[in-house]
Amino acid sequence: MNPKNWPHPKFGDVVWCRFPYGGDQTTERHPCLVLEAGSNSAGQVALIVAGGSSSNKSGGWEKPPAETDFLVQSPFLQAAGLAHPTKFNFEPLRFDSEKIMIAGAVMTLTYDEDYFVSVQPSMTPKGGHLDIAKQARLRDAFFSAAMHANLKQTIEQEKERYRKRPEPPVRKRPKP
Amino acid sequence: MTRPDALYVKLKMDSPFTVSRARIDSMADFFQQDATFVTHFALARLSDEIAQGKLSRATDIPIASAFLSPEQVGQLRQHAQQKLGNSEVKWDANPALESLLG
Repeated sequence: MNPKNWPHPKFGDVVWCRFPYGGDQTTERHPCLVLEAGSNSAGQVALIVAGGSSSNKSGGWEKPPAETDFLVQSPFLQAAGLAHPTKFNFEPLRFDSEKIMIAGAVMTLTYDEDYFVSVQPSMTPKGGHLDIAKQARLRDAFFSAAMHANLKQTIEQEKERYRKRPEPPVRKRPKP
Repeated sequence: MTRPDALYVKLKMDSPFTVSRARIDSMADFFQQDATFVTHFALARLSDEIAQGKLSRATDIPIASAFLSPEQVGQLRQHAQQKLGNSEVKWDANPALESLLG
């Protein structure tokens, strides 16, 4: 269950998440962009997020590294709570024969402490917010990546996958 | 020699989604078969129902309503819902994203 002081997320929020890239559970946190939010009758919140990755301190991106990346950079970093240019990838999940994800970065996750990490100063997973619909540069960059990745279809697929099986399609960590 | 594949099931109390040893034994008696037959038969029928689209999620478990009042059926379904966790998410209205994606 998500802690009660976490505000209900919405489209454009940047949240911090141990995103399981490649199907591997990790302790490393990444910024993720909230695409959709919802809840069930038990009050459990689910998010469809796009996994992000920040450039290192010395480098940066002027153009999105891939056509399916939504690149956020100055002057929007502060509002998003990001220190460095960050790309959010809109590729759909791909799976191996055992239905474990091997690639892709758009994923539905239950909004709880299993995957999401509280950050300062809010002490919730929300680091900031991007007003994508109202900022022309953000809107254009988002639209371009979304069209290249067929994001609309990917979101519908993720809703269906989560309905059938809410557990993330990741490799289980071996017990210590 | 390879060991045959096997499934070990811990039996529980009778409920809409668990069974006791007594319940399995009574079904085995009913069919004049053994517990292995009952287990295979039940799973084969479950698989068949999924294939036919009669079941799409765990809370769709049918309840023998002929023996229960509508209130009891409702209570059992509610219990199953709570026990299994309702994964049916109602997604928030998202006009900003809809306008972007068309």
